[in-house]
Amino acid sequence: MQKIKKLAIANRGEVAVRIINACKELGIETLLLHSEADRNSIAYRISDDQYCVGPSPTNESYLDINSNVKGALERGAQAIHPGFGFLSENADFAKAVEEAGLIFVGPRPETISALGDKIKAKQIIKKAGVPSVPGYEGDDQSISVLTKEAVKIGFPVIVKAAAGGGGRGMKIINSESEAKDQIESAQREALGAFGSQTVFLEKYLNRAKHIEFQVFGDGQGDAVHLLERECSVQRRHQKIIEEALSPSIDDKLRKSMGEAAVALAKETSYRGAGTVEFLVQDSEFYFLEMNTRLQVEHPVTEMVLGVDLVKSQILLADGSFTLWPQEDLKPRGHAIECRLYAEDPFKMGMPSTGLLGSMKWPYGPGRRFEVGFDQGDEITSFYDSMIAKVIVWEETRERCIQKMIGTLKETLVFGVHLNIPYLIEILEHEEFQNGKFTTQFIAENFSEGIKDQSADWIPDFMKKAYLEVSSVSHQKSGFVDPFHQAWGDL
Amino acid sequence: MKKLSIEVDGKMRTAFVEKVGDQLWAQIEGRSFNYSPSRRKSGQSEASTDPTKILSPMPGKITKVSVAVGDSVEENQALIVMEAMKMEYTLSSQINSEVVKLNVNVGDQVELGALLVELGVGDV
Repeated sequence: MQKIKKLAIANRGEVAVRIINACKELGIETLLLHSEADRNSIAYRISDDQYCVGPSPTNESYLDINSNVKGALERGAQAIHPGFGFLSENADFAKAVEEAGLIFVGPRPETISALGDKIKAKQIIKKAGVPSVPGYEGDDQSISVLTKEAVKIGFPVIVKAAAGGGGRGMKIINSESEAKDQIESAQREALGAFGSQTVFLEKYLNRAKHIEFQVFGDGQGDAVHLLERECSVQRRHQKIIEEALSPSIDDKLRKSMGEAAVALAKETSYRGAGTVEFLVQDSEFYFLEMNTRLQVEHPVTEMVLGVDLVKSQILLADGSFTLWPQEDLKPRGHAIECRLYAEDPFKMGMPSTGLLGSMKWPYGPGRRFEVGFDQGDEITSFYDSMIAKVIVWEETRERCIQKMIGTLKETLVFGVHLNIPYLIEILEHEEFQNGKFTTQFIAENFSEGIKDQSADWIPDFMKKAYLEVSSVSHQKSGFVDPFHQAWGDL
Repeated sequence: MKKLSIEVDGKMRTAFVEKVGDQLWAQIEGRSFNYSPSRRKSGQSEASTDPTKILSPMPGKITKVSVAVGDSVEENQALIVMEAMKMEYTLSSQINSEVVKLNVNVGDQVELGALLVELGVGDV
């Protein structure tokens, strides 16, 4: 017996479209909980019902717990899917949804709050036997003890202000001889910046890769993993390109990481889709954090495994899902996702907003486009700049990269600038192609953004094209532009 | 959208083009260009060529005003922090000068090209 007849989506853009389409396939009616600005979006047009949760700023709409729960109740939905971002990892929201008698498509509120709390999460991963970054957080803050601990951890070691953040009070110690100076310096900075000179030590992972495992739990204590995604291409912790599988771990490491991820999911009797993020360096892996939601990059996992994670989440919430046996989850080929950001790649990613013109998404075998907006919709400054994702699948990684470059070059979007030239330069970079890139890749290779190498014929071409397009449309409408002649001699 | 071939300096050049609003957009191998005779090319920055006028390079919200009228500022000193699309951008002075006029407050939503700060270089 189907419990969910109508599902509310507390999100926007391409992920809202993704969820609505999954519901359509399952025969579930959809309710879009949207802001005022998002009346002009694909999700608004393709959903069955719409409820405005507030004005454009996110804290008055997409982050308003009461308004979202109220909308779902008022319009008769039985469940809410939070998508990613916004309220998706907010335990108070999950709790409010459940207390209102609705189904939260995601983990239990207790799981979200436990894994979101640094100290609790550490206890849980310790219990599950998942390795974390080695370090020292002891009360003895004498230079001799700190130095001894640093030697034990192994250099390089980073010393951080316990009360800190934002890079202040952080020093890197490369050898024992540097230890005293660096620790003292960090202590001084910590005292100056945060009023406390307490520091802690951590192994400094300067060549780490960001590799994460998709997990899925039935909420009863059983869980499986759906292999990994490599997401080391990051700009200021914002992922840009993701792929499955990772080009840089072998089956042995893959197996132990997968087992660690499953152990963590089982430890929390995890319900639904989640992601265990690790840092990997020198064939050692360390727990980073667990994301208790669907990830932006979930499509690459779906492509290599032939699963539908969103549909699985909804079926589980509905009580009609059976977990895949672990041994059935066998990958085939390679998948890459590129996030399309509305920004000017030649101006360090300056946001590009405006009215969208037409678009061409070059569909073909193994090409998937997750799109949130269409011609006539406006890209505003209220929300993040990811307007679409391009995902491609191929038999080998090499051909997959080649296919992504080709697909991006054929993609046409008019009205805003996109980061496509930036993505292409990354995909063509040797370090990306040989798979050796780390989380430092963007900082090391693209700290200045990319250079404008546009040909000198472009300005003239633009002027002439403007006249040609303007005159054609006027001829068509039979309208004689009195100023047209004036432009002629430009 | 249409595919257009035009002769420029004796050579045929081809691009996909479309007019959106008052601007012409062209796409060449994933790269986009825009042009309007009435407006500066937006790909070319909305930044004023006059360094005493700090214009908003994008629509967005003012999240920090780091200076007050009468303050003297140095080259590269941060004046305004704004947010758009969940990202922060810092607008700095390109010259040694003095703040003559502040047209915005924290929380203001501003349009592209809005005049935010006016600087003076007179007898500073």
